[in-house]
Amino acid sequence: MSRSPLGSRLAATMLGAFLAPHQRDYILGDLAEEFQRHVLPQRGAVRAHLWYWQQVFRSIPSSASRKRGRRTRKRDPYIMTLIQDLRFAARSLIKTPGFTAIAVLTLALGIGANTTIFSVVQTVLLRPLPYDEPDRIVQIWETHPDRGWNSMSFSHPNFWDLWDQNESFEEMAAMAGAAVNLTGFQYPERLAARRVSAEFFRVLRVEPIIGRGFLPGEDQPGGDPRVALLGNGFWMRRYGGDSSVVGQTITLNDTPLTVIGVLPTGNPFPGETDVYVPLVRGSNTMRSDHRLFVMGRLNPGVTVDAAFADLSAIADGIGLQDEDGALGVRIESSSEWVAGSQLRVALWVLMGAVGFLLLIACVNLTNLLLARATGRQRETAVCAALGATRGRLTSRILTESVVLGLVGAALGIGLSVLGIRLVQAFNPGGIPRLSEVGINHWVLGFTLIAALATGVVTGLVPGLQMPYGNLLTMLRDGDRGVAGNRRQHRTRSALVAAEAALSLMLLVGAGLLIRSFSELQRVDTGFDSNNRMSFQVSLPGSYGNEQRTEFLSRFLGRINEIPQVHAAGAVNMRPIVGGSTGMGIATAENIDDESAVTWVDWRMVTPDYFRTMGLPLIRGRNFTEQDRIGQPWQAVISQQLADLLWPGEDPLGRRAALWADPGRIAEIIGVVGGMRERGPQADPTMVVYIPYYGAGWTPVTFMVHTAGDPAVVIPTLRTVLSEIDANLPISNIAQMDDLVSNSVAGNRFNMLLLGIFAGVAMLLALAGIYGVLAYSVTRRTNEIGVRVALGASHGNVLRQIVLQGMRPVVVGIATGVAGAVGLSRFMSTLLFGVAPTDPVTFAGVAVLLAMAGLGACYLPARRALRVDPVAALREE
Amino acid sequence: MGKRDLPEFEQLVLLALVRLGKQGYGMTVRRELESTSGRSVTIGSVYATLERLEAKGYVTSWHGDPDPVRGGRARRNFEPTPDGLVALARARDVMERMWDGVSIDAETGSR
Repeated sequence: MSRSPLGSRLAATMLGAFLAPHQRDYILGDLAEEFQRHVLPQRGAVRAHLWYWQQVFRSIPSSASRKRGRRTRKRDPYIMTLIQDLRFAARSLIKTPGFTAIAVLTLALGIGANTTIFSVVQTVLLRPLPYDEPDRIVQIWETHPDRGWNSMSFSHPNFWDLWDQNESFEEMAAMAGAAVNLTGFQYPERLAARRVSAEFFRVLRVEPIIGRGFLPGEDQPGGDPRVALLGNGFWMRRYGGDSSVVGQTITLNDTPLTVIGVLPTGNPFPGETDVYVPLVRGSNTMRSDHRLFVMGRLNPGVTVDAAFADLSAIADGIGLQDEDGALGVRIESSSEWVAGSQLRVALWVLMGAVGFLLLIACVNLTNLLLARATGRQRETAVCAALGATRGRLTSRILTESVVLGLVGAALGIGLSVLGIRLVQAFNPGGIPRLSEVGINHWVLGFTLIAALATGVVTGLVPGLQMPYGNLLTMLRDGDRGVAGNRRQHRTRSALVAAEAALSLMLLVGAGLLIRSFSELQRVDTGFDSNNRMSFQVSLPGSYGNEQRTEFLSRFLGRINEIPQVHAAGAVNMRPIVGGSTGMGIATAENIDDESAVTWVDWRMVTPDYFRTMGLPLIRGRNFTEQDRIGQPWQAVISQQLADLLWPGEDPLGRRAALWADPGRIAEIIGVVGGMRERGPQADPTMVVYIPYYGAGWTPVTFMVHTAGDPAVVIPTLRTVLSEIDANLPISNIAQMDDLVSNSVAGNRFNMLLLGIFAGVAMLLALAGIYGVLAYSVTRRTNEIGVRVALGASHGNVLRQIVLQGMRPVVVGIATGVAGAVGLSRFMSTLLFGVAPTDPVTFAGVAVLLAMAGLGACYLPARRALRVDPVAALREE
Repeated sequence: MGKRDLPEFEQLVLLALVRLGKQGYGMTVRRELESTSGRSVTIGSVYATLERLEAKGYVTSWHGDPDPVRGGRARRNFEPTPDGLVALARARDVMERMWDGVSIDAETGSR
């Protein structure tokens, strides 16, 4: 390898900055060569890297003066001053290792947290999609304003009409998710497939790495659609990256297809996909069947508004033939694919939180530096007396704090490497490109800016507050006076108040998320997930409708014979993660009234589904093994729907039009409890249940309720299935407990992160409160001793000191509450069952912080009581 | 400091170049100095000295071809000029004349 040694690229960049351009090549080249040829083989990796850094650091002074010297031919005073200040800073920081360690650690925590979250934000939100000119790519939705639908998937005919008639798009393409069974290998496998129209990859401008993409005719009637493009991951997994795969045959759903190409690494489109096949025009002619994802690449220079006008005009024409009524379109930027609004909010809230954390760390360091500057009054006075200007003294303090910032940042980057790994390990799901998150030059740049800003901000106050004017007093008093002057005291109190306020706001945020999460945990989902498992079986096209029903009944019968199984049923959509099927429904009496149509979910179920899920049958009867879909139409509905359609009446025996279709009038035979099909955060869904038997819907989702851990029966299930049909794979096995828990993983993740940040923030703030008061007590030892000698009671002294310490804390809490009221509404979309201004959270957090603050004040106050008046007086 | 002065470190660098012959460039000079003088030398100070010597006309330099082990970077080779060799010899003469009749034990410092 010819790169600079790993981990030392940063060092090389640093040195490069001090070198004139013509010197960079041969000096860095020499270092790289020496490293690779001699140092690495002789000393081993760790010591070799140490050697590299040492060379860089020790070379910087001579290189720096040389670089500037080339221009001015003499030593530049600025550089010399800087080097002097740097040396001074290094010396004085090394001399006080305790102070330095605390300062560096504090900053490393703050900067590390910022770097971690920023690296996630940068990858997930800021980095553009990996497509050529991504701003020209848009997603298009159908809208049906009459029905209040504003983001519908496209139906096939509507898409092809737009495709034919639009003039705004260079390319327009549609995609439908699918899953297929792969056979012909030793084991059948279920693959994630996508049907895409021929222009799909041209919209994204993704080219296959071997073979070719889809040709324009391959999605048209009369073309040959029996071709497949392989995803890179699948190609590597199944074919070991063998390029002779192009031209071979692959059998999907019992149909042989020719492999025409392989896509580049990574997913060309968000979401894992194994194989792409053509979406054939005319394969679905129902305008009311919405299932296509549609996107397009705008013609150069065409604005989204112009494209909207173009598509809307076409949609007006189509709407006349559409049974769903007037048709409109909605155009959305492709950047929405990257992160939905909830994730955006969560990430920005976290970014704000770590920003606060860094501010608190800065305030702490400022306080430390202030104390240090006061302790150094005599030294400062001597320097000033010898002619050091105020600017010179200030710049020295600034250099010191910037050095602290930079060292803290270096350590912080190390922490954030761990932090990023933790975030990735915790992966709550739903964060796109999370695996790509890492430290890149954007993140390093951000960290560098954060470090410099931290250094300047923390050094500025002590730098400006440095007592300079009254040399005589300073020389005389040295570092013995009372606790600094009045102005410094005010500054410190203000800083403590700021810390308290900032940490209160963070604690409120964390508290609100914790309350939301506990509310979520208490939600009754309506179904029982304990010891329930779901899995899918996809039936190939060679199975006719009757055969599918027979398979279903036979397989379920065999599952029920397994000893550990309590119950087993089938449904067409898995709860929580399975997606949804919807329909309009109206009572038979109101069928002609458009406004009486209600949009509800529908599910096909086998009779044992309700029992398996623990859904109570509230009224009427369940389906029987003999009930078939539509023969005649019968339905079981959820309680909420019954209450909506026939409020206060008995729904049994009543009749409703399914799909708002007079030809599909169903009798209501039963009512079951409601369940939160979309997870604990969503309201219970209104559902119409109809018999699975006779429908032939595939893939089939099976639900199994077992006596103990459902995983135990999986091998038996496989055996049973292979005895029925050895070519059918089982896929998407999941425990219902996991699905429910995963559906709130995002909430848990936000809560944990914000909780950690708030906890660290509070600890830092407490350390600050404690530090400032302890410092002041130490410096007032004499005063306290005199008071005690003059007869002040312990209680008096204690009260006075605690009050002094608590005053800024109370001010901070009040300010923080006001700030939190203003800020918490930004996170309202992350909350569940809790108002952003939840009084319980606010009061709880305020009390918590006040108590902790009291504790932090009590410790130094107790120490003050131990002051021996005699010793204190003797010193005086 | 006049052009003809040759401080100790410049002498050492120049001598290292003479010893290295065609192999003279920053890193070999650095290694040569470290191994013979026993003190730790940074690449930055070697180049600072080499460039000073070049400004005095005591060494010349030319760029080699880019090398993959160097991260594709070219090497800058150095060689003493005749002037440089003369200056080095003079410096040695001065030192030898000064040492003439002086004897000090390197271990004990006794004369």
